[in-house]
Amino acid sequence: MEYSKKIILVGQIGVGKTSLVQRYVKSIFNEDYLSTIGVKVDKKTVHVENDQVNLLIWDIAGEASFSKISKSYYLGAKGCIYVADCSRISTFTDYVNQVKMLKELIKDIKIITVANKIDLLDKQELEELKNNVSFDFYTSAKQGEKIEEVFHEIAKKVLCS
Amino acid sequence: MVNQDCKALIKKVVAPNLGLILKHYCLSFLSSFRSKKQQIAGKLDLDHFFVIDKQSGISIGGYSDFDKKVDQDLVAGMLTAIKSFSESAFNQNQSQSINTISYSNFNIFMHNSFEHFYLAAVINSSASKYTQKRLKHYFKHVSTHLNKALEGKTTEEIQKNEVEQMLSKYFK
Ligand SMILES: Nc1nc2c(ncn2[C@@H]2O[C@H](COP(=O)(O)OP(=O)(O)OP(=O)(O)O)[C@@H](O)[C@H]2O)c(=O)[nH]1
Ligand SMILES: [Mg+2]
Repeated sequence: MEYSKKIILVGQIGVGKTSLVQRYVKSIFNEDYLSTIGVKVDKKTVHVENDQVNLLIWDIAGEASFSKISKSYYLGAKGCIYVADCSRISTFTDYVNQVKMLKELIKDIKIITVANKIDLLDKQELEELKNNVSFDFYTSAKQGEKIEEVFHEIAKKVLCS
Repeated sequence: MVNQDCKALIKKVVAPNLGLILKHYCLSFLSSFRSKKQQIAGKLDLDHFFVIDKQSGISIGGYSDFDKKVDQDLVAGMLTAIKSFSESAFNQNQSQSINTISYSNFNIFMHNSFEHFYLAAVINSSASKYTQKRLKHYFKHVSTHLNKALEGKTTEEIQKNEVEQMLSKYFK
């Protein structure tokens, strides 16, 4: 069977949402920071067992988070990837509020948490971080680490919903 | 806010993304199609026509002059982002019958026909009064024809084939 599902990427500015999507969809990484304006929609097809899932990926500008406008971008989403930046602990702080708000808006939304930019931490720092925050995935858009896994997991989750 | 300001802001904020998509997929095919189209007297210069889920922006059916060259899901997603943006940013009335966005040579018309879905037409020509009148007419007809297939259903329950067959029967 073929399915189309909308998923959203949320998280504070500069955490690497656009970079994760670019790495996943186009296999590229850009060192430059071009802050997203509004939202950018991308698409990639994933195969989960015998099913084909067309992921419509809405990469929402960090700047817009919590605003009235971004809420309208969330509607209709089946899954959400919440992204934080390993090198900025402050980007982990609004996670609880965001998830609460999302669940109020979309009752059965599936959420995956991603701590990005692990390439900026040494081994010990990464272990410390993992002890303090328990996120689902630790990724590097720069090095292409664990990116496929993140999107495959969200595809699997939204397929069950 | 005046409509003009609203349009200018949309153009600045979201439309460039959409423009890129449309340009990327369409421009190279335009010249050949344009000459062909001009031979067909009375045919509206309609590039794409979509039925789209209002919230998720997922295309549940479309008719396109360029057929497989356009990723309907991508264009439908961007159209919905623009629509959501303009509706929430300017408190635009969602039931307002037709919304228009112009980008470069493209004119996009959106019509809130159903509870969960809206119709969108992309036209690659100036939107004359005549064109708009005809579009209004099409929106009405397509809504009537699709009502049975779409009423009370969610995206998951809809047969995409049924919608596409109806659209291509109507526009071809
Ligand atoms: N070292 C490193 N840098 C990264 C990584 N991911 C993204 N960056 C950089 O971080 C900056 C911001 O990345 P974006 O992907 O634009 O961030 P964003 O979350 O989309 O930001 P907004 O659109 O403003 O919300 C860019 O300079 C990227 O090159 C990563 O895994 N490692
Ligand atoms: Mg971005």
